[in-house]
Amino acid sequence: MSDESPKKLDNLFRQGSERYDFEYNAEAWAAMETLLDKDARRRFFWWWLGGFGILLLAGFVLFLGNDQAGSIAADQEQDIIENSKPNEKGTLKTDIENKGETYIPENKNEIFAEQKTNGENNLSNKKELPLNSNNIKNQPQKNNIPNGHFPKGEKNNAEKTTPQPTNNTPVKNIKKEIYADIKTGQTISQNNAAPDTFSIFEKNKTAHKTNLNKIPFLPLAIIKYNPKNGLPPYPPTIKENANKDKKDSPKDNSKKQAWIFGLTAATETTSVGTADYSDFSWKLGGHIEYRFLNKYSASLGANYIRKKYDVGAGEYIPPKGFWTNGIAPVSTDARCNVLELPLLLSYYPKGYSNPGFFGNIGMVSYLMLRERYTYTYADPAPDSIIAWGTDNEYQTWFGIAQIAFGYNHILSEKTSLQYLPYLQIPLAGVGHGNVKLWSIGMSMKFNFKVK
Amino acid sequence: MHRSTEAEFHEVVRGCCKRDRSSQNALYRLFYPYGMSICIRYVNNEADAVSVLNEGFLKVFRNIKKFDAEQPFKPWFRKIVVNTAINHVKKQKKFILETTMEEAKNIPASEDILSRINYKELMAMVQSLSASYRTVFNMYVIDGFKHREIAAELGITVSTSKSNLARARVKLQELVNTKLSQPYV
Repeated sequence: MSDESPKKLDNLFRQGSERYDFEYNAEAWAAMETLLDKDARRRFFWWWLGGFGILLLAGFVLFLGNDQAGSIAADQEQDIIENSKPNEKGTLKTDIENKGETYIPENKNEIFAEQKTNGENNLSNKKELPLNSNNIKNQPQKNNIPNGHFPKGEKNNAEKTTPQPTNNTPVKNIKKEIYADIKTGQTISQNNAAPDTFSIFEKNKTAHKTNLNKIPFLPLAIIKYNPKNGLPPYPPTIKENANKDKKDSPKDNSKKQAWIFGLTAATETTSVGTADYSDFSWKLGGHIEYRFLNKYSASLGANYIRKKYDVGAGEYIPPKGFWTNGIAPVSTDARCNVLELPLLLSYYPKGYSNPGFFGNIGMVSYLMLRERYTYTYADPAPDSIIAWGTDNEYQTWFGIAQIAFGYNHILSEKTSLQYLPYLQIPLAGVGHGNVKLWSIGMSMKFNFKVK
Repeated sequence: MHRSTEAEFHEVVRGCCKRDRSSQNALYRLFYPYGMSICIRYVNNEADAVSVLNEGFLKVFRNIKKFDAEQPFKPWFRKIVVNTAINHVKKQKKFILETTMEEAKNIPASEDILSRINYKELMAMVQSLSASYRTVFNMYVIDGFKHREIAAELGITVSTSKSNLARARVKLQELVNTKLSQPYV
């Protein structure tokens, strides 16, 4: 074999390949445009799915966070209620538990003994109260502040500075005085209190500031002044507060239930399969919603939509014997007017009265009001069915699953606006062709609280 | 490329980056003939070549933002289209064919032949080869792949690549000789 022969042959075809003479082909460009359109729809779908996934993830994180915070708050509240109940000795559980942190009594019996001596203390009997300056004088004082009196210029500093639980601070003594207050259930006003008692009040404030860092929540007492009856008891006992809460609770529960009427507008695109989304359609409708337990709602809606979609070969499955000579079309253009009935359960992690993300899930029924199909064949027979239509013949009950995640925007006490991207997943075939319709859309709901 | 033409071309590429359909059409018009000349070598009919080319153009449009405007467009485009064509052929899975190498016979100078055989006839000869011969011949002779690269790309051995090339040459030489032996029309 000559070495040059293959090279010559190669050169021949190399040169030939460079002398291309193809001309622009409009049909090829049309096919290219179809590909580009399909690609755009596919891209849109993945963007939409990605966004939806992120929203879903954010909602899940919010839900977890909210649930955890809620349980922690509930635990804390329960702890406070439990710890706020004085034990037999009149000491609060919280104080005993916290003694290692904020208050370390050198001699616990000393305190109880003192309280026992005071018996059912009454602040009106100032001589027997530990609030009395004489009593305080008897307590061990480890700082230089005189009992009941702040030296000029130091009073404000004492209020501002948070005392540290060291041996040099009067925290221990002040705590005892607080117990006395709670135990006696009496109140002291600036006018009624003895001069040194008022000073102790100032000290109590400081002590409260210290303890606020340790106690996450304390029930606040509402004190009403009645000039005829004198000063109200202070503070209202925990038991009274608890009872008050119980009385209020049924009323609160009734507030947590509501009936909502809403209007829906949405834009939606439909595909047979997951990636061939066609034109967008408008959806209009309304819904009624029952909200309960502050965070949940059940709703039933009715939406009208004119769906437009393309069905590929083999995806349109009509009743047997429908196709002439068994020859099925390669594609079907579908235009259907649909009444869809969504039955949804929603969850509002922050409560439906508050703005925030929420999600819903449910089933949708399709009532096909009007169906019009146009068939395209690769090799049409003369008697092939070109188009077909029917009205009110096919219904698919709960054949579509819907999942949505959106934002609840509160407009006023009675109105709200919701932005809700959604995905509809076919569980059953729809219409004459028994096609599996996927839909994605973005809905906006205006809600009005009617009751 | 002239400066004005070059500026216009960059404008078209910028439009394609924004997914502007008219810019995409302009680029398609510009490179359709060249793209077809590549694709037609790898498939055996024009319809398939259009399909492969459109697939290649879709990749071009999707990735046009990755194109470095400082570099010439043609080699970048060619690489994408050739790879698309090779992928298309790979789907056919028709490469595993071990043959003994046969010697090619002497042939006249290419310019002489080209004066008597037009490009379409040459391409028709290439298309008439079996997929395995055609692909290796195109990759090695026209698109400049090495046997090692062809073997790796198609999942065949280097010796298979070499033997397929030899067989392709023999076949093409026969076709050329047959053509040359026909009287002028």
